[in-house]
Amino acid sequence: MTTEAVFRIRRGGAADDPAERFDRFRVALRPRMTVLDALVAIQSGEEPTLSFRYSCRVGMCGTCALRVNGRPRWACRTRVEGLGGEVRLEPLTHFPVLRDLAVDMAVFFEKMKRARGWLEPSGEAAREPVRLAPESPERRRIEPHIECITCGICYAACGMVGHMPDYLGPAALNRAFTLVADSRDGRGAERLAEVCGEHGAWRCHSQFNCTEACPKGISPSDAIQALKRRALAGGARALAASLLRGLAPGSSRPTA
Amino acid sequence: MHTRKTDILILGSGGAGLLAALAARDRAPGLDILVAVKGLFGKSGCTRMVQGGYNAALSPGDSAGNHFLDTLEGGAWINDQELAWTLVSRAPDCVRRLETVCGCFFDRNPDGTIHQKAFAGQSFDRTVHKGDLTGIEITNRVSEQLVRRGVPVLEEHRAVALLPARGGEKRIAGALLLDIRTGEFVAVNTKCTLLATGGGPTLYRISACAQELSTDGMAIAWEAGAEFCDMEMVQFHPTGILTGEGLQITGTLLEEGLRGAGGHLKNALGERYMARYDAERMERSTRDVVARAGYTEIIEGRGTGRGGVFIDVSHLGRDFVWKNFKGMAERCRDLGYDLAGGPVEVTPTAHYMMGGVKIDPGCRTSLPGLFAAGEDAGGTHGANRLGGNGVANSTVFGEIAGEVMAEAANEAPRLPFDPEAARRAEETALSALGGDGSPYPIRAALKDLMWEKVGLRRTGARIEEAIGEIAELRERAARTRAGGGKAYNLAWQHVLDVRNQLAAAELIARSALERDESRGSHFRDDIPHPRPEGLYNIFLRKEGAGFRMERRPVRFTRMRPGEARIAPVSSYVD
Amino acid sequence: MDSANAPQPTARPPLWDLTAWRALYPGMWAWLLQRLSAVAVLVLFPLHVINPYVDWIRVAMLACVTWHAMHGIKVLLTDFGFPARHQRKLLAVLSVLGLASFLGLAFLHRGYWRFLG
Repeated sequence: MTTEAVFRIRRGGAADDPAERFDRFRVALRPRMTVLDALVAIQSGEEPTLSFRYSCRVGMCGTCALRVNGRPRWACRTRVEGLGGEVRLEPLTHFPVLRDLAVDMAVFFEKMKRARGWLEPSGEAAREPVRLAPESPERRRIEPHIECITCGICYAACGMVGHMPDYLGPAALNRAFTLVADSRDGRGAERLAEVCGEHGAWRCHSQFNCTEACPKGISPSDAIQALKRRALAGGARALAASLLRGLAPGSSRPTA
Repeated sequence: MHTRKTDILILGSGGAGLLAALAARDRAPGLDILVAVKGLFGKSGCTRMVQGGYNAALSPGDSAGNHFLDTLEGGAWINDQELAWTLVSRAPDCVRRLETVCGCFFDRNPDGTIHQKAFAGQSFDRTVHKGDLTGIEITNRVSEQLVRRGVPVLEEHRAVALLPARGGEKRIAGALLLDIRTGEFVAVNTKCTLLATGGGPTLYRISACAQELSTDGMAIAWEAGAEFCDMEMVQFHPTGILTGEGLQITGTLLEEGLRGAGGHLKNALGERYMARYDAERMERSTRDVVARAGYTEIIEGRGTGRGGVFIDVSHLGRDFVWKNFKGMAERCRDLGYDLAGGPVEVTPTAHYMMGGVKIDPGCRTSLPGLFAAGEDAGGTHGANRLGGNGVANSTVFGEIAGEVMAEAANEAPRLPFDPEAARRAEETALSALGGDGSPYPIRAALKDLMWEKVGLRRTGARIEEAIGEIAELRERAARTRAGGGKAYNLAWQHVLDVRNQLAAAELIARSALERDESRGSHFRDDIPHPRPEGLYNIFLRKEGAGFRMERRPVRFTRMRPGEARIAPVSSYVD
Repeated sequence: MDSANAPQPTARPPLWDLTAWRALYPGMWAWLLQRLSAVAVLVLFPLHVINPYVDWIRVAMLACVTWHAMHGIKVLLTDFGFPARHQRKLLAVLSVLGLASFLGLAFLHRGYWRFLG
């Protein structure tokens, strides 16, 4: 039975420590130990200057995400058992590194902002909590997508974000979908136009990396496809309407 | 060090900080507001970790009066009744605003009205929730609204000191922040400062809260001379998961809903031990009773080999458990347990500090210019907090603080702060860097001694020992200098953390020694009963190099034990 | 969000990093191979037009077109709402179907395999 694991941890990337390198650490294995436990053991023992980030340690805050053997995961809920004798830890892709494993998430929240990732309550919904059954089609559409904890894992996993840094990315589009589908929101059409613009949903190539990687089991892929369908339906309706207007008697368009 | 001016500075972005920023911005859009948070915005602190939910008397059959009475009974009658009344009377509107202003959507009944579930110690099913991950919905939705409104945020900036006004006027004129990413200091000059950093009893061996919390707000408020109340009252939650001692996830909660729904607690012999402690309410007894019962089973040798007991919800059925407690079931699964399939090992875990900075119902502290809300403030919950009153407390008082500060900042002056105080505070913070010392042995020693001597069961002698040990550890911590550079140096931050934790630990121990009775979560084996009358609160403040402690009788402004009369609603603004 | 730090260069694994390749998910492989097969068809098709009787080009064309078509169907189904949580299964089914049709067609036109000797 293995009693210890070797961690190869990517270091550096900081203004005062720019040289990127891998450092090796041996950590005594304990039953049910997580990657976070290993990081804490290394940092509070052998290497106090190792930098990483965590808060809740239980999968709620979404700040301890990093790459474990190449795949983005939460450190706090990834058990070391089963990762192999040598575990490689690196910062999330697509985020600027602050130092070692800690990244700057500002870019990710900037995308949320560009997707107008907030509810703009209108009408009755701005006055009283709406009466809406949990089994209503609306809530059934939204609920599977609403529990996102904005950990950035889907964003790091997304092939298109890597290819095109301006792309809004899975989390922002997932949030946009929950808002477009929400009858309480007063911005539906504009929001849809925004998130289906140049850097929006159409840039998704259905690689499913976000859905595969999401530790919450959320499928941003489905949300993005739903946004595309809504945009298409909206476009088709607008086209039909303008054609009808064009054909209607009395319109400004010259008719034959 | 550079200086930055603002009208309102909010320290923290949990429930209290977020709601304060939102309320202040919406009430006074012209004011400059700045939020500074130790971690990432909206992702730091414990509101995020709220599983259970939010108590609010929304249903026609319920009333603020019922909620008030439950809160006082739960708090063993030493609550500040004005704070408790403010909490229960504003909670329903606060829940509504979380939906109508912020965009939260809490779980619904089949008819579309807001669902409220059963929680321990309550006479009515009044806990509003979003599955078993209520805090994520609240912090996500409120932080989004602040992004929408463009409120500026300093992330990974911790407050290291409150700055008094220059020239001896007794007023807080700002705070000194430390940018964790660069190690540089920012002195913020402001009219109003809100402490909303959360308490977080991480100074116990096993704790439930977010791990970056280190009683920072309390420590800096203590240094600045604010008055504190009831610091001995530390809540232990009965069911923190136990995967192994020292493992990070140990101590995080399996929430109260499990017991509310009929889960069983068993010791290693398979007995439902609550029968010995509260035969009537069994597992649904209040947290203090259930946690102490579990602890007693463990220390009397009826616990598991690793120092735990079991919670068993398997008899509720697999589908029920997965439908209602999905977050917990997934967490257990990731750790290799089957929550729906059988008993899971749990331990009591330090969860919440009922004590804190003394505030009035407008969140004003004893220091002009300084406000406090959420777990930094004390008094609302008395000797024991009801499950579901925590996030209600932080959001209700956060909102109030925002409103009151918005008014105050329109009138109050922005006095220059004392530059000498800022320089001294910077020096003190830097004194934790530049050596090769380690904060970890000190932190471990503190956690152990608090757990064993000022924990779930205390005695005068043990508390006195603890006070001596804390003093020694404080000296060691004052001499400890971490290695490494200034930028993103966790070891340096942890030295600062442990210094703050030691400051709070001393307050807890001093108050615990002063309270010569057992009440709520404060239990003394040497005096195992509450005093039948002469109820009191314990107040502490810094005086010179020492402190001043006094007992004051509880003010029964609205209700006396045994009475059931509710006074009319009064406004929180004097 | 207010950040005093100038962002550092983004961490991205280099192409020769095998751990990164091993970390790719099946859906990503499917996507990559579909794009590669498209490029391959672009090269093979003109060769096929210039000389339609080169057997290995025919076989390679058949393989690439079948693969590309099968995953085109996957994209199509996804666009019309096929749930992403079943995409691995869909990928597996379509890959098997693709392989079967390739083998079937290859068997019908087994004369083309002469180039293998």
